[in-house]
Amino acid sequence: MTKELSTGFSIENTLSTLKRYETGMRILLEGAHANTGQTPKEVIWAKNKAKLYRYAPEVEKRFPVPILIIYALINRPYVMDLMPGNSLVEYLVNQGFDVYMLDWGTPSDEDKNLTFENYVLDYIPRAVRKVLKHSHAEEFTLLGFCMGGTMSAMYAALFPDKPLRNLILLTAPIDFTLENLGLYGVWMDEKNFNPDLLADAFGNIPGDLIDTGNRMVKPVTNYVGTYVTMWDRILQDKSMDTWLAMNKWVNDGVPFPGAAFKQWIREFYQQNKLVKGQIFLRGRRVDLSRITCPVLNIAGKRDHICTLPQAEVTMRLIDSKDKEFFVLDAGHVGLVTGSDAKKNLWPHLKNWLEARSK
Amino acid sequence: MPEGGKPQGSADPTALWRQWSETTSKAWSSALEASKEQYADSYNLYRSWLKSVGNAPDPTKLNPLGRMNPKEIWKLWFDSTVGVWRTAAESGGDPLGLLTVWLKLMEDTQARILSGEALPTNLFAFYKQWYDAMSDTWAKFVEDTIGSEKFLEMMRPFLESYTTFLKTFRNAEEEYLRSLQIPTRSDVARVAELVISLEEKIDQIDDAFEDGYARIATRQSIAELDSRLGQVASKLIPLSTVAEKMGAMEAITQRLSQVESKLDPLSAVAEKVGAIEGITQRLGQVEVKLDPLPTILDQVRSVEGLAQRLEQVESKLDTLPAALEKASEVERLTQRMDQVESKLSAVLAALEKLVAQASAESAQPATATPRRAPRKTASQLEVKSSESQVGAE
Repeated sequence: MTKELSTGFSIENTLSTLKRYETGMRILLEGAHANTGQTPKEVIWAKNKAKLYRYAPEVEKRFPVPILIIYALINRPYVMDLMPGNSLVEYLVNQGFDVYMLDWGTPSDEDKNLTFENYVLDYIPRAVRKVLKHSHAEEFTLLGFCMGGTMSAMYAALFPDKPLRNLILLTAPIDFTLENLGLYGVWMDEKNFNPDLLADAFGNIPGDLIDTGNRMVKPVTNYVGTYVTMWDRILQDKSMDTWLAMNKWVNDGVPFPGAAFKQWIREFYQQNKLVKGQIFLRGRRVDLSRITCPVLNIAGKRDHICTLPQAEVTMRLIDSKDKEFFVLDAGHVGLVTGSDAKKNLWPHLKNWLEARSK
Repeated sequence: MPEGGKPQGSADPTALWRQWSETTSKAWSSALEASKEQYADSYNLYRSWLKSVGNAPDPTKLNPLGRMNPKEIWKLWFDSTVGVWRTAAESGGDPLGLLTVWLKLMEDTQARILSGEALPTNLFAFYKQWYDAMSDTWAKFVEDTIGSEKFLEMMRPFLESYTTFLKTFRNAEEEYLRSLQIPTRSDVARVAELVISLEEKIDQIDDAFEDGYARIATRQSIAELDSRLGQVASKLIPLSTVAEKMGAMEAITQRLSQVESKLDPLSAVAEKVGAIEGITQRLGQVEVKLDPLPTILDQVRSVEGLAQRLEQVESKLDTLPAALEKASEVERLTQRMDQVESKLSAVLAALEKLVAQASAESAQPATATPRRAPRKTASQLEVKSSESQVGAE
């Protein structure tokens, strides 16, 4: 409940209130500033805009199997390493895991023709080589978030054998049956939306446009509720660090390469080809039943970007003996950051990995 | 605003707003009438609202203490605003029905707020209470609206026209800049694509190295190579000397030259490319071939010794003709000796025959025993026969 200010006039109260309003107005006008992605890291490989980070361990490496995190093509990956004390990457590193992350960078005009073939068949396999070489390991764990999870699943289906040891899918959409997608399902319907129009006009789809699309799924919460929360925290003198970091991330979208966007909307959303086994990358069929490694599939009940049915279907499609579907009462991002994530997801992830990383 | 005070004179912002609104609305109305087009006059709504606010009773007069009662303010604002919106909605100024829904939401919200506890005087707290009260309904309304077929029907042509305009505009920009000989974004992008292709090639080479086709030359490997080359060179020095003497060495020298010619560029390449393994193997082969060389050299030396010995033999053989002449003389003597021996054998046989006759004669008793001639010794006989032979010659 908001703290009620004194109704009586006093200079101190007025100045204090003005100061708070100034803080809020500054955020609204200048945008949120926060130091994100602070876990020490080094770039061990780069290609085009993509960079492969290796997070510097501050404790002795306890597990020989490294973890490679694949992030989505939209938004920035530092949500996995949001801020000290609220970072999945930092947690894993401190548990003795050797953590790597592939950051796709910010695509530019020259990248408008990049497709999932490039990402799944060129970038990811090469990143895997670099990880194995750098860590002197023979196997690795692949952890994909959101669209990065979809790409990770495709990689696992195309390269099911060694060196892939474990697969972790974090809120990864696999089934795009429109009825399960809420507002997305309505908007993405072929009769309502032609992705070619945007891709041909923009080249790369601007990050702001993608963000708008995502926010419009919950417009009041995203456009109004966020700022109500901001004022509430400011006026109650609560810590703004997490809010600032999250708001910075939400407003820090990257363009979506046009060709990949067309594929994503057309073949995944509108034609739902992945579930049907009809996705072909350079002539190679993506058959999810070829996945046989241990799989941890994680989804959030309140996730409206990757709904539960979208992720759950994976359990039926893969052929792994060792597989688990872990559901949390969280949204798309709350799954990996915040107090609930710390309490629920992170320890579970650690325990699951610990048993499979020796 | 100072407590209990009210803006005075021309500094009153409400009065200024009203003045500005009147002026602007008039200007817009004139323009719209001139064009004979029917547009919703938003300024009319705004003007009505301002008018109602201006006509509202002074809140300070309602409270003898001069304090603002938030509930009263809310009610005043709500009554003056909602009335105008309702009029607008009823007069057909709400084609999508949004205003009607909005009014319903506002009335629900008013009922919720006014039935609750006393409203906070803090502006934000008041707003938050309002937001909490209506956010769910509001969210549902917005989501229903943007997910409705009507909304999507409106969006389709908008999206099509917007993207068509954007594409046309961008193409025109490109063409214009091109006509001015100015590089465009797509030109820069093309250059960037070339750089990315180059990166891809470098990555492929990198992969080839990692796959073990080659290794990066390290300082240590180069030093080892240098040392081994030194060893090879030291072995090549005596080899060239021997080759001058022996024709067979020429072939080896040629091959070594080929090896050297191959090694020269290889060592340079090895610094960058590091194809050490192949060179190492080839050097090993060269070494293997060079290893028997000392033995060959020894053999060569032994051949030289043989030559010397042959010379000695030859020198000895030079004396052979004289010896052979003597030998042929000996042979002749031998033959003559053989002849003498055969003659002597014949003499001996004759003598034995004679002896046998003599002994036979002496063995006859009846007859007068002839006087026995003294027997000659063999040596006497031999001398005699030899003499006779000599005499015969």
